[in-house]
Amino acid sequence: MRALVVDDSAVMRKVVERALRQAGLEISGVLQAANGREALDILRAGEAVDLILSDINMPVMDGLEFLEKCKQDGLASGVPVVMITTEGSELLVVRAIAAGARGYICKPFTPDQIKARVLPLLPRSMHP
Amino acid sequence: MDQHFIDRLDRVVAEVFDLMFEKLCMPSGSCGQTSQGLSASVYFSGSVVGRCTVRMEQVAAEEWTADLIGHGCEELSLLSVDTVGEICNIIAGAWKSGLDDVNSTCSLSSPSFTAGPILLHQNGSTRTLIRAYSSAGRCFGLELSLDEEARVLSSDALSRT
Repeated sequence: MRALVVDDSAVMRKVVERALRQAGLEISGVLQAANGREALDILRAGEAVDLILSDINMPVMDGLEFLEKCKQDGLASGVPVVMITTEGSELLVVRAIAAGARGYICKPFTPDQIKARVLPLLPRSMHP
Repeated sequence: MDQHFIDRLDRVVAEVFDLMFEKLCMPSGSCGQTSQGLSASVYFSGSVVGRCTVRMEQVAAEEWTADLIGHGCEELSLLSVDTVGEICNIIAGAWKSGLDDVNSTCSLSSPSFTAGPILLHQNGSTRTLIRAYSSAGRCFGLELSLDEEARVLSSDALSRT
């Protein structure tokens, strides 16, 4: 499974990668982007991913705008997107789901929480 | 700041450290500032205006980073700034989430960083709570400053949260 992790914090990108591996998922690669614009560049370059995990609150381009641009441009169609953020407001959850997110998880999180959120979104062939 | 406000902040910090690091975090007497310290601030805007700042020594920041991403990573020193920012970001987010419906809609900035001693500018309408915490033998300082004049609701409403 290849994942794209989008977060302006380099530490959080590594934490998410570590959590995915600790969840027992077979990760063949983790692409990283520091904001929505970098993530769009990665997808526009033709990189195929099976899962996207994105922060919401980022400089340059936030997670919601990134989702909306993906939808507009037909990028990563069918790839599940899970928002990972400190912002737990109902309004942001609604906006994220409306923009196409399939899930939402608040920091701080444990590997078990990531696993519980991510596994149902992946095909059985990618389950541990 | 009344005791209820202080107790809630202490609970938020303890919960964050329990989930992030699986470690106990308790209020402590004081945290001395050194010239090797790192600070990260997250700003509230909208229904609540203010700032949350976390500061700790570089060594402590590197140790927390190692706890998060594993020891033996060569980039610990570079990533430690990020770690302080994330701790601040997550504490601020968790504190904000516990506010009443109106005030919890305030926005959070991305963290901003400073190295070395900090001089704070405080105007007369700012209410500031300064706390020191200790976890796993490492201490850090936290400041929560709220602008009294910018609040939508009365101080009673905030202190009830």
